[in-house]
Amino acid sequence: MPTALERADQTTTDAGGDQAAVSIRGVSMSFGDLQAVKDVSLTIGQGEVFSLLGPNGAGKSTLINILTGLLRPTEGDARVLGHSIRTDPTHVKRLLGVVPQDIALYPDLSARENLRFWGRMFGLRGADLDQRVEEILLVVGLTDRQRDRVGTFSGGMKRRLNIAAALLHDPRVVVMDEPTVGIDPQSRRAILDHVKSMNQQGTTVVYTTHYMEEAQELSDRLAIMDHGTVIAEGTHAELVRIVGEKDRIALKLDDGESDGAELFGGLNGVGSIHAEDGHVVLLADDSDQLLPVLFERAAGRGVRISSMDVQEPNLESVFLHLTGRALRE
Amino acid sequence: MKVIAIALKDVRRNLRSGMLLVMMFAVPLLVTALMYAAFGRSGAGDDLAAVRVQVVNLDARVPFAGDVEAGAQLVEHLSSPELADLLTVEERVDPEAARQAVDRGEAAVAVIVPRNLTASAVGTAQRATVELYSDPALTVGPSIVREIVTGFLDGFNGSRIAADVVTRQLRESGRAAATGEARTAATMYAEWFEAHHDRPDASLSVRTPDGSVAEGGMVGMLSLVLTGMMIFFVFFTGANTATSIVREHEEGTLARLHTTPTEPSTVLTGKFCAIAATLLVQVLVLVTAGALIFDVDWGGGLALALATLALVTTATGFGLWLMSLVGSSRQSGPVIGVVLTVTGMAGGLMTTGFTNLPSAFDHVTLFTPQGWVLRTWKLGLAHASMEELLPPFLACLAIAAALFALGARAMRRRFA
Repeated sequence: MPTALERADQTTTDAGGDQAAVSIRGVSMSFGDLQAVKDVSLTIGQGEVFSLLGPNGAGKSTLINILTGLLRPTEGDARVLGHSIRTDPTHVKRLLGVVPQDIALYPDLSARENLRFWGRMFGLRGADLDQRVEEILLVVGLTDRQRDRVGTFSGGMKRRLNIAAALLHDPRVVVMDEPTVGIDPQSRRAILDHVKSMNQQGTTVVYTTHYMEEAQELSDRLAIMDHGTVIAEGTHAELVRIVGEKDRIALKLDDGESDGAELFGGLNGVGSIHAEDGHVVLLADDSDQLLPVLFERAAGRGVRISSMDVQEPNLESVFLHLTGRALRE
Repeated sequence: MKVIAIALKDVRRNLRSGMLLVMMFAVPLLVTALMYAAFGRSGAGDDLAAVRVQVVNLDARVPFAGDVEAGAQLVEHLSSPELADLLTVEERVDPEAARQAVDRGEAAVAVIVPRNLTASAVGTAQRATVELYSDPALTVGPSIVREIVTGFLDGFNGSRIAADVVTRQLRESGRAAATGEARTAATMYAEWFEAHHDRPDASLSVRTPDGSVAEGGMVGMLSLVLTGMMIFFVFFTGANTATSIVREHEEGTLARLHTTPTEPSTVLTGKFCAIAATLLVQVLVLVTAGALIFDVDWGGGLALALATLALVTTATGFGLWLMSLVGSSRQSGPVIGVVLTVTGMAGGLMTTGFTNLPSAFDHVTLFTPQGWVLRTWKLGLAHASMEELLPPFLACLAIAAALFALGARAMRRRFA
């Protein structure tokens, strides 16, 4: 069986010249009066790990459900390796491996029975099926528990098996919908490492999460969604540049009467400054160099700084900058 | 292949559910066993002590009676293997000795056949009287003997009636009543009766209009009770296993199935096959257990096959249709309980052992799928002909197809 990387080389032929692993064009989805996805267009290249980041209800899962054929978009189309979800959904499903957000396994069947069943649903049979089941069990570290019923597994083991069931047919594109929700840090680490490993073998990964750290660690590129629309898209560096690559320093002054803007204004390295009722927020080119200067200036004026918070530019601050609220609000 | 994989997966899950297994096999057999324990042994005669009977045959041969020997025939009848469970017969020569045996409690009844029984039967003597001398403290044993002897004598009374009819008709036609002609008629009747009374049902198949078995006895009743219980619980299993679609929807595995290159119709067909296969296993186990444990005669092989097919398809269609109406698996329990109890009762499944129901109830049962299935099974039990069996069987298939179509349509709208 060719590796995903080898298969990726054949994609041009399969996709009729379309180089993108996933191409979403003008997709909208409405449920009655509620418009869950609004005119979304995205392009995901082959071999990328692409994350969809956004708070709960942003439209990530709806977009994933459209891509995987569970929902038919009200408008627009999406293509996977050149095959339309509208006109060729069965072929698209053969190319995709879908890891659902919730555990979707049969608790009264063993791990092995579950994998054999899902393998058959992707057309595997006989020796190929047995071989793939053995390989996948090894990959997710469940060989020793393969004959135990899934209902007896821990949350982390179920999550790993949930992922394994999507990889049996060695899909070219793996869609993972918040696969680390509700599991322990060790299992979460294992899943993230596994995603990286898959990607190193050439598999394209579409990953949704509302954990900024995961998106930051895994993604080659990402899109931030809110209220059904993509509000930003690009590499991590590109997105961070939206907030100017400055550190954000928030200070609280004991003396609420002091004017923070007057106190710190004009210092070298201070960008914009916003002060109100003893709270001061300023953007700095380098917080490590600026912080001693800020404390020295305050002490010199007889003002005490009672608390301090420094944020280096990250996706959270991008989201905050774009929407005016925190990612997990 | 995918249909088989889906079906096998569902069957495996069904057979791993302890509660479902109990409802599929244990409960219907337990209910029938309780009926058997409550009524079977005590009423069937197995535990009833055979009635001890002293028989004295004083009957004499009659020259003009041909082979007719009414007294000997009565003794032979009482001593026949068919009555061996009921009667223990001892022949005596002396009537007084027989009566004394009853007085001493050595026998429940003494049957004393008079000298002129054959003569009376062929019309050469006046009325003959068979004496039953019984222990006044006993009721059941003497009643049984009285019924048997009366039934036998009724046949020979027919020969007297035949002689009277011949005499009257000759007189009405203006001819003198010839003694020889009347005697010949009586003798011919008596000979006919002698030749046939040992097998009174040989040319008679007794059946009620709805096809229920008219034969008495506990086995017949238990057959009907087990049939009713089996149909009820097969319908229960059908609905319960059909819940798997709703449950898979809630568990997310149905959505996951739809992310695989598997057509929704394949998923539904696999589900249908799984339900049908589970029900088939259930019916085969219950039928086999019924035959082995309760001596149930399920009828001919073809009739049993048709009845099984009718039951499995109708219960499968009914289950799919019923589950297409429920919103969640939490709703399914109460819905199954209420709907199956009401339709099961209306379909006659709870009253299969009763024989005194109004005949209109037979028509009411046919307003339910269970009623048609029950009719098919009853006809099979009664060894009905194919002509009789086919209409209810085809009705079951039509009902099953309609329910499946309705259920599948609703399921596709909801889950596909």
